[in-house]
Amino acid sequence: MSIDDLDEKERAMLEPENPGRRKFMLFTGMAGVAGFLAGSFLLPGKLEAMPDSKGFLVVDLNKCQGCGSCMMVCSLGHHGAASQSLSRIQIQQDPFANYPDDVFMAPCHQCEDAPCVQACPVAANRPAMELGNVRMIDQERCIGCEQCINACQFTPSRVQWDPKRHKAQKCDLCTDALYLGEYGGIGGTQACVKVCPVNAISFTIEMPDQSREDSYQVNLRGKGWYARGFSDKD
Amino acid sequence: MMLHEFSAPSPKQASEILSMVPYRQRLKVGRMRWPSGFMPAPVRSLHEVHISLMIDEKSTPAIHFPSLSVWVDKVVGDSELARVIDTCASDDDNSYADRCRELHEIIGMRLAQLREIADLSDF
Amino acid sequence: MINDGWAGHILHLDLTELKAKAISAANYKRWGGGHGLGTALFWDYCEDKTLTDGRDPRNVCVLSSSPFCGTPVPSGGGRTEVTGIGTGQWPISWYTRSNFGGRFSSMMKYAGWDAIVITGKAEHPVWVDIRNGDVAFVDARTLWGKDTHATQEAVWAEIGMRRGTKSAWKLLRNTIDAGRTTQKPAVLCIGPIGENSVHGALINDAGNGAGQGGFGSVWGSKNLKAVSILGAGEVHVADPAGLIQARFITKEKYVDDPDKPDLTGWTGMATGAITVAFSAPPTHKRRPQACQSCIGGCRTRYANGKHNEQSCQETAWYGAFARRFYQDPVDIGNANLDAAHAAALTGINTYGLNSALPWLEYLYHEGVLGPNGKIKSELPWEQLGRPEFAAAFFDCIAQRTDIGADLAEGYLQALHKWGREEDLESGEADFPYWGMANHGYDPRSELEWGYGTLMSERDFNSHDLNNHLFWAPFGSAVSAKPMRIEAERAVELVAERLGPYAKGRKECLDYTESNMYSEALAQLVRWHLHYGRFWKNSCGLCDFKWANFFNTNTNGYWGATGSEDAGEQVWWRVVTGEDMSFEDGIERGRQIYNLDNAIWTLQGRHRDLCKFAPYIYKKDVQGFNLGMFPFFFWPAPDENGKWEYREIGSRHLDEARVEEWKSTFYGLEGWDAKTGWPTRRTLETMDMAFVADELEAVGKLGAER
Repeated sequence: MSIDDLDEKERAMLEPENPGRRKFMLFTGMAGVAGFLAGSFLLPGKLEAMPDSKGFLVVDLNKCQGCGSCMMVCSLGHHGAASQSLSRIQIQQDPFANYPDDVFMAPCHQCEDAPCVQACPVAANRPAMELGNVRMIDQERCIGCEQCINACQFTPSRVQWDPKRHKAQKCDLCTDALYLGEYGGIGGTQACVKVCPVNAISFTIEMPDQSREDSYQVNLRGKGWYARGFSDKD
Repeated sequence: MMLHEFSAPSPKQASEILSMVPYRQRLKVGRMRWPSGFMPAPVRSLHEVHISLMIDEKSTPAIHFPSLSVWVDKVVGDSELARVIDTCASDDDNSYADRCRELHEIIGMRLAQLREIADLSDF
Repeated sequence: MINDGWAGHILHLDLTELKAKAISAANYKRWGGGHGLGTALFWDYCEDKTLTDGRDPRNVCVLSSSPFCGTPVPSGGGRTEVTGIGTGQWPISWYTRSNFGGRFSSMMKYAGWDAIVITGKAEHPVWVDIRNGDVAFVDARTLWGKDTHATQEAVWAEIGMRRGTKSAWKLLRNTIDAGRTTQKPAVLCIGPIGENSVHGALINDAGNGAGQGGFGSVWGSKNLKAVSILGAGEVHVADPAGLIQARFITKEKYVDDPDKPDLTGWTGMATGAITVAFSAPPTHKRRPQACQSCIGGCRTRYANGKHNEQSCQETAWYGAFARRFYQDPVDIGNANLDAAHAAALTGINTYGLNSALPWLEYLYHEGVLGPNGKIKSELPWEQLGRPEFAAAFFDCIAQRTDIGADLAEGYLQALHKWGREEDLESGEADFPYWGMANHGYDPRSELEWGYGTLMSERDFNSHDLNNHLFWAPFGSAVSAKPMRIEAERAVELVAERLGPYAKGRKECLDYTESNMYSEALAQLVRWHLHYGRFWKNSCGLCDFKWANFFNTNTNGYWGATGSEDAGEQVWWRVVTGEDMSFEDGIERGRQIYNLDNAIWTLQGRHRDLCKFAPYIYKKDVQGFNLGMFPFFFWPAPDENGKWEYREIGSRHLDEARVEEWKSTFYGLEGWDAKTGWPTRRTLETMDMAFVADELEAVGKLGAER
């Protein structure tokens, strides 16, 4: 099968509508296109073998300064409005707690076998195979059932609820950050990484150990950090 | 660092030098720290001067060396130390910070000597 | 929805009636936000602007955010401005301001509010629970008397938020459309000091505080213990991509790399955490902690938890005393932080203590104050420096026992009651302006700060010029390192931003004695006041990062202030959509400053009240810098016009010439030089005829020239 065999509608699905906006491939009912693209054969609603994401966010809990800049640019980049509740990375603080337990950073893990993806009944939440397999939610397809939100194994859930639009949303590594002003997604910019004033968030292509939640927590501090008067040890 | 071997005063003299001076005769010094500015931290003893001269990475002593030397001479009663302070303070090859460090060392040495000579239970 | 950074609504809390009402923010947008917004609201809501004690129930206290709050404007998204009649100043508690950082203003915006206006007085203590648009007044009688941390934790518990992190999403209310959050409410509260004296601060989280002005005491007088706010909404801006890009540019171009720090002051926008003031932080086991949107947090959280967020001023007032009992630097650091922690818990404005404690100690050693003194006090003065003393001292003010009974009404009030006017002549009571403590910059030397204070209503506390023209060269001078920017170039870079009054005029920044009473200095002070009133106090740009006049990270050393890619006007444009110039912002600041002065005039202000304390004018009274420090360098030209950083510590102020300078200043502001009151002509040029009308009605309109 070649691209010439696709009808107009199917061909349109392959092309981005505008820079930064990637039309998400819907495999259900489009077995022909699935056969054209490399990847696994799929059953509706359930991925047999989920391709690994080609990018992950790792964080340094000991370094974060709790400024919330990542949350602001995340929501701003995706929605054009700043909002903690619509941020796809959450930073939680307890100002009275002992360091380092006073801050928790909650990025999406882009899980190897993402429960949120498995839970979606309409294949809205899927790895975008032409976009580095980033796990992302097609907003047009999402029916707002919240099963993905509940399926996330982590606390807080890495899938957020948008009460105005009645949709679920999640970190897409800035693939669909229309307001970023530059190319996002794998191979591009992650707003939270770029904005962090203390470089406490990093992007990696190496999948952290999936058996441990804290494998996404790394040490991003060095001698310069120590020179500023802060410990570079965990 | 300049080296000086201090002469040994009598135990009574050592005790007097180590004593706290009356409040009215305190020396007005302070610390400088961005952005707080001057934080007054007057001193009434050689021991407090010693601590005042500590440089840390975040704040700096605010001490006028000529005033310090006069105070050490006339109020504290240690003329020898006052002369050493003058010599160190007038070393223009040294930065202010380095002169503070050196004076901290020198006064520390003098304090150790005086404490050994004087009745240690008081100091 | 207008995408201009505004939430669109202002919340009015009527504590007398225990009612909440939403009003539109539309008519207030000309005032910018923050201080401008708060002052305009005060003007409309305060029925009696002649009040001179902030504890009067007719006082109106406003908490204001700005269009920047809740957005990633660098070090501009997290400040809350507090305005109203203050407490404890001398001779009059003016309409005044304070502000604090942290999470409160952004949370206010996410909840859908641009400002909160607080009027009246509740019959019994209450706290206010705000969740998005839902507002409830809650009985706070069980919270009254609690310290500020316990109060916040109790409020969280009542709202159903647990301590710790890593918590699940929660509904704001029990409806799916109310929004969800993982965040804790931002709670602003008072402690025991605010409940019963004039020295109360407002405290949010562990260490964000609004101290000056005594607004904690204003709340105490209103029986208001706390305001809690939780928001799950959005802040819409005009140009989100422009905002994000400008933020990226700021980090890349203007701020030093946090992992390769530049530990000098020359970059201006350094990421370094300021942390402890008097002594080094006692441990490396800590993190920097920042207000929302900040590019480089100035606070710290520690492994022991209790010292969290204590930095700067809270750690400047007790270190000198604590040092007497400890020798090891780590012990001194810990003792200093313990005192800071105690101050935060009790909710006291620690600024006043900078001058009050040394003065009281002086009285004790003079035999005037003490168990056998004319001023009776059983406090353990020989233990001044130990944490027990600090606790006892705070307690006596909060409970109005011992000398606290008099101190609780104000330091200068106590001084006059005790008949200690001589201490203001000698300088032992180091309160140079408005009954407020010396900030650490002697007005004789750092005169732009002193004049700025005199021509406003409180310790000026604006480090713009001080950061660049004093601290940066100071750091180099102390270690005998070369100046990165020589004096003349530094002055040029700063002067370039002094439009519209003094653009390019280097003479405004001449710190020689001959320039102390000049028109050029008056223009500088005007610029500084107006810049501060709008860009900082109304927009919420933080004093620690703004203004950024020069910056050794950039080509040509140009700073972010007024720049085309990250200047103040850039943030205004990308957030509000209004294409305003940097200098337009200065003009807006002038309008806001005029509104302030109109309120002061109604309160009884006259130029004759705008004086420094007597000792400031005496040649034989040393300031901090005279005879205390080997150098106090500021830029100044010699007789041949060659600029250097020169020693100016020995400057003196001539009272008569200060009066002349004031006349120059008033003239430039378009005010009546005889009184210092605004004139109708000046007000009408700023579309403020309504202000002129109110002044005229009480016979307080300035005479035209």
